[in-house]
Amino acid sequence: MDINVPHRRTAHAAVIGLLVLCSFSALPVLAAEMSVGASVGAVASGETFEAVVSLDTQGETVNAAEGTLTYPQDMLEPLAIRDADASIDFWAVRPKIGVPGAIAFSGVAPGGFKSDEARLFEVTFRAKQDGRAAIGLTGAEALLNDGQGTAAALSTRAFTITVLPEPPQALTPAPAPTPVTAPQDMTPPEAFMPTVVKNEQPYGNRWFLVFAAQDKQSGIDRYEVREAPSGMPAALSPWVAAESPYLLRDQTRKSRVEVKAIDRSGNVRVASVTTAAPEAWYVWLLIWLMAVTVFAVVDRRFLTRLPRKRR
Amino acid sequence: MAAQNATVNATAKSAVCGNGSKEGGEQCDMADFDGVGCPGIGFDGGSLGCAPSCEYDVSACVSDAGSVGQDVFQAGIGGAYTFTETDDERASITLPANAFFQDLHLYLFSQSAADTLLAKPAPSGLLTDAHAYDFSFVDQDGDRVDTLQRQATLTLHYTDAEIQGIDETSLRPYHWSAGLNAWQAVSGSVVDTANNDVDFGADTFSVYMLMGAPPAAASSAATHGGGALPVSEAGVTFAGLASPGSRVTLLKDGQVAAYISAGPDGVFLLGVTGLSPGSYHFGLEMTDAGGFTGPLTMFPLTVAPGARLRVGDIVLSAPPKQETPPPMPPAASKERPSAPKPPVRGDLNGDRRVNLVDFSIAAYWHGRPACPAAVDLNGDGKVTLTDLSILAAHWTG
Repeated sequence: MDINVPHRRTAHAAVIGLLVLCSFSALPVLAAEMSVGASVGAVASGETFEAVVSLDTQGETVNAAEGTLTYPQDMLEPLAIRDADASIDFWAVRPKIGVPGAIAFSGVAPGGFKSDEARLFEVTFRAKQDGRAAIGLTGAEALLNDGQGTAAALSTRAFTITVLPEPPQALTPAPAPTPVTAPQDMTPPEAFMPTVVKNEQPYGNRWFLVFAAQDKQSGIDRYEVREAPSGMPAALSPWVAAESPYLLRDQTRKSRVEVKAIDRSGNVRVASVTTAAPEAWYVWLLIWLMAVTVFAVVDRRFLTRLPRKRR
Repeated sequence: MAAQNATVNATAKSAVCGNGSKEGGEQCDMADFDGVGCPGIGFDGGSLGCAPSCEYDVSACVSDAGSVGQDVFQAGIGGAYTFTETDDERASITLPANAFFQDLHLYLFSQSAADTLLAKPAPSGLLTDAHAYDFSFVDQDGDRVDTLQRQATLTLHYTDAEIQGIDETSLRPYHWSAGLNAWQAVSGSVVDTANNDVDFGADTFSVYMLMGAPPAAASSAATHGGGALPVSEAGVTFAGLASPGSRVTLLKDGQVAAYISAGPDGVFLLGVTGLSPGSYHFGLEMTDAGGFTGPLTMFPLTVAPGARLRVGDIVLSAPPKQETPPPMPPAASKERPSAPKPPVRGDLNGDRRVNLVDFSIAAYWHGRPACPAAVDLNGDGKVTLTDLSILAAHWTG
């Protein structure tokens, strides 16, 4: 009996310690949470669903977030990404389909945001194979708008969807593949203002272009830039795919620069940049006059060399 | 009719409480009310009592209003007070510290629209079925206070049933002017159609009520009203106070959307139209004559199709005070160059702004090796999300 006393005390102490530990661990931990969610918990193979990546800032003001969305590539196929109307204003790494099984993202919102459900982006997946598919997040990070880039305490929550086998074809006709349609968007991206900058970074004191457009419906799909020499029809210059920052080809800044923002529904907004020093009109008049004169002279010489018909 | 429980507050008194004579700092003293009764502090009748703390005991006061809430505003710290009777009767008031020079008792009377409009008819063309709220402040001397020294923010809640037949975006708060015997529209309100709230600022207190126009009338008013935004085009206007003559800049999703110079009285009004439906991060900042920019004040707003939102009563923060060099002797001052301005953190191209240009430069180096030191804001040898966060926190647009 005497021996048992210390054991009991030890046991009591352990229980109390455990209770204390449990009570502490039961305290609410105010950590922001980055999560993946969907409106459905199960789909049939061949069907599509939307997975939404969102952030609950738990009352903190967050101005930057990044991470990588992971999914089993043998079970799920990403078809489209929508980042319109997201809480991130500028992407350093725009979420896009490319690397199998992973979609990386990284971006900021100047001034920050505070929300219990800040949407970052959503992915349309097609289920390929039956089973349980886990969509998770790795390397997730959310930073506070405190001027120091302090990392917010962050937890992540994955989402698992059940993919049911396709119904037997003998019993029911095979369902037509679900068409993936972009949201109905007839509105072009919002007006934006590209800026031409000359700076040591990142292109060694050369002129470059920065731009960012917004589209609240379907989101920006891509940008194209055109540099048309001053005085020449713009249609003669090709549009080229571009990202901001974009190093200008014409460092004299005499070209007319246009930026085309194209949303995921194909709507287009074009913004132009005023050239710094376009050629004066009389310069182009002179050039055209010279060209006409040269042509006339050449033409006359050519004509004079033609054999004349004998009468 | 509603009777209320007394609230007794321990407040420091300079007068002698309990001597039967109402003195400064006392609302009452035993039977001495200085002629004030229940109606004098906002109730409709009943018998006013005096608590041992020499504060009013309103437990026997009665009100025709459907419900009454009460609280105490502490002058030194301010506070937010929400009065909820049922789901459809909710009003909040946020009082900044030093909104009044002393503590105040706050009483809120709520009354149905029908009862209110019997005595106070709605202006022609306006509809409402929302509750009316009467905010009543009583100071420590027992006098009703109608005007505060600093503006309070009020939020009136409404239900969908209360605004049936009303264009939700046309909802405005109105306050009853006893002098004019009429309802007066309150400017600078914001309708939060998602949460069914209307926010506005006020420093004068009386009966407040939400009213709006039927859809057709609202469209017509927006089309023909001076300065109103076209009803088909969503837009947001911002109004408030900044330093006189300062430049006020409006950012939309981090990019400059508009700017204006504040008037000699500091008042500014600017806005943006042509908005697509969606969520926006609006930001306002002011730049003083010295080129220093104050902190960015954010306004996250969700814009519905055709919505015309107004955000009013904004008070922008001035740029932080810059250290001024000590005065120099007149002879030396001519030779010494002016002190250089301190660097702006996050400004990577030296234009004293932090905007898309700087972000683009940082984003170019994001994840690349051997980034230049000027771009590496936290000095860890690489450009990561931390650098981008620092840049975003110092954003000026």
